[in-house]
Amino acid sequence: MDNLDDVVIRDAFAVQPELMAYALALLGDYNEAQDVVQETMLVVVRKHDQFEPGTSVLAWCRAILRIEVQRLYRRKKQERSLNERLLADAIDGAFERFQKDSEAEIRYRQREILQACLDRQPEKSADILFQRIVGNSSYLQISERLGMSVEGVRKSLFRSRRRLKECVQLRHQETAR
Amino acid sequence: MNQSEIEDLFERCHTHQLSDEQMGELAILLDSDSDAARRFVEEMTLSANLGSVMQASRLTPLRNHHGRRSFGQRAVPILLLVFLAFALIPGTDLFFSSETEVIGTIAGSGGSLVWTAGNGQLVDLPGQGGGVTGGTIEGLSPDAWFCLEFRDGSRVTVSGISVLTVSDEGQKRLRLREGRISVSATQQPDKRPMLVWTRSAELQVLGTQFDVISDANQTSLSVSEGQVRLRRRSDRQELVVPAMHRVVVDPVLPLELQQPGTVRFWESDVAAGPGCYGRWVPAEGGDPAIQRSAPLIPEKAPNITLDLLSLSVVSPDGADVLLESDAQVEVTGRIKSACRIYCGINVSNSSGEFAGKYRLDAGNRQPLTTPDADGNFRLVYSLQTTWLDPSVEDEKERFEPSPHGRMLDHVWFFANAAERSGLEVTQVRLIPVNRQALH
Repeated sequence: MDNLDDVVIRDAFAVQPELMAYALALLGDYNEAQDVVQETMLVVVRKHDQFEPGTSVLAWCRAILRIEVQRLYRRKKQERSLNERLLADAIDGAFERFQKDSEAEIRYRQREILQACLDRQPEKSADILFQRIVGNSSYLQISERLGMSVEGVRKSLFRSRRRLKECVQLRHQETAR
Repeated sequence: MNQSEIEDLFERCHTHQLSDEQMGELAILLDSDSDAARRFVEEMTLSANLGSVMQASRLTPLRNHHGRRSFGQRAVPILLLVFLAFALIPGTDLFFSSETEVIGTIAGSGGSLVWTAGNGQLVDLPGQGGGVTGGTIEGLSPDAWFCLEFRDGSRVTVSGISVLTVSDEGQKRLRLREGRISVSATQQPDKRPMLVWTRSAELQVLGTQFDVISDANQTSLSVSEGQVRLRRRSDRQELVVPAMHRVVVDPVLPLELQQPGTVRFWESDVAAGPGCYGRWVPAEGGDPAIQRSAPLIPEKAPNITLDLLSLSVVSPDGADVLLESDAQVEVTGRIKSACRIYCGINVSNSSGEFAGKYRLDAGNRQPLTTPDADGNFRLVYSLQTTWLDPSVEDEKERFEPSPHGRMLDHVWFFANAAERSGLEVTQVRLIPVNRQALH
């Protein structure tokens, strides 16, 4: 690989966390989002020479990912409603406006903060979060596994997310001081 | 739309539980309300990062001595691997005080590794015999390994997906954030013993050989020579671990000495949780759990992309899994199209020290595997014809020509990504000769 190729692929792999967020928004399934990000990376490796220098690697990767999502729907022979397509366009627009790729160091710091905040969550709450986000389990499935009410699971998730956001915010402020 | 309704829409969106009508509402909201659109992106970013962090904290091979799968046997998503590859590790005074002083030399290395020097700089790993300062070594792939020899002859070997920080200013200090290390320590000064920290334990070493496997929740220590003083961080309980004994440090398990045995038969338990590399899909309906391959670009062959998956080898009672020359490795799974499926193993010696990586396939002569009508395949590899993996070829004098008599740590399978095989594994077995007729 020459230097430019090297840089494009390295930068593309570095924005995978951002692509995961985008894929998760489009698909609503963490495992499927992982699959699509992997497929995207394969395309990036194959087509890195088509990247236009001077443009955004993140935006280029998002465009590839969007195509991979369409392919996924085709493979699943899943028709999408008008509202679903409109939502995908709106999500695309939101990410184009508000998603930025971070420096690796900042990204690492953010993850550390998130890990520290996650460690402070009660074990059961963390488990529910894991089952919901990574396991893609429904409220009902989690409630049955943990012997809780569906409403209890929903409230737990809501509280956990709020606590996490507050904790992350607080630690960012502490870091900034 | 009030705040609670907006949050409910966001929550439903990232778990695909929006009705058609709600999709329309959310689309309008994102298009018309900039603040909501910004918060939506933040929410999705938080969820994606949270998923990644939670997966990462449930990884790394760890022998569990109570029959259940430990967090350590879960997968490392490629996300994390790549993230680590490009992330800078912030230093601490404790570990990065030796910024410029050479603390030892590299006795061998292979696979994908990143070295972050004490000053926080990502640096190219020197070749064999090259000097290194204090810093952090990260093994990014299942086939990664790295051996550092300190100036006093003590050695630490990192293998597989691991993160280890090392310093030596007259006292060797190692912090194993996750993964596996094997240590062979020469006699250390009485007042300055080698110290090893994991998230759950602190070890004090005078002169010994031992093996540590650690993840976010547990630490497993196996001592083969000498003795190691161990302290559980959660309650400060201490234990001296003598030779040929093992201890699992877990906040909820009793701290007790064990004498591990040896088994010759092993079968994977894919349903119990993610493997070591690749993507895990839990059992659903009538479909079994699968470990799916994920892309990997080998360090020594950057023009090739592999579809790789790896599983940790852990027997239910924590016994070592012994490799015999007439045993077989049987794998069943699914592929989308005919492809060549290659197989490799990582092994350790009886003291837990990394003892090489071997291939069980036929290399360039590996025949095509054709799936049946349902995409299923079954393959058997014999341990009678093994060869050293190319990634350790440079160090072949360090390793035995065959893995026979060694302990099986990891088994991995890969195909060339260009074949778009979609390689997935549902079960792997190590079958000794006396049980082969039964399978």
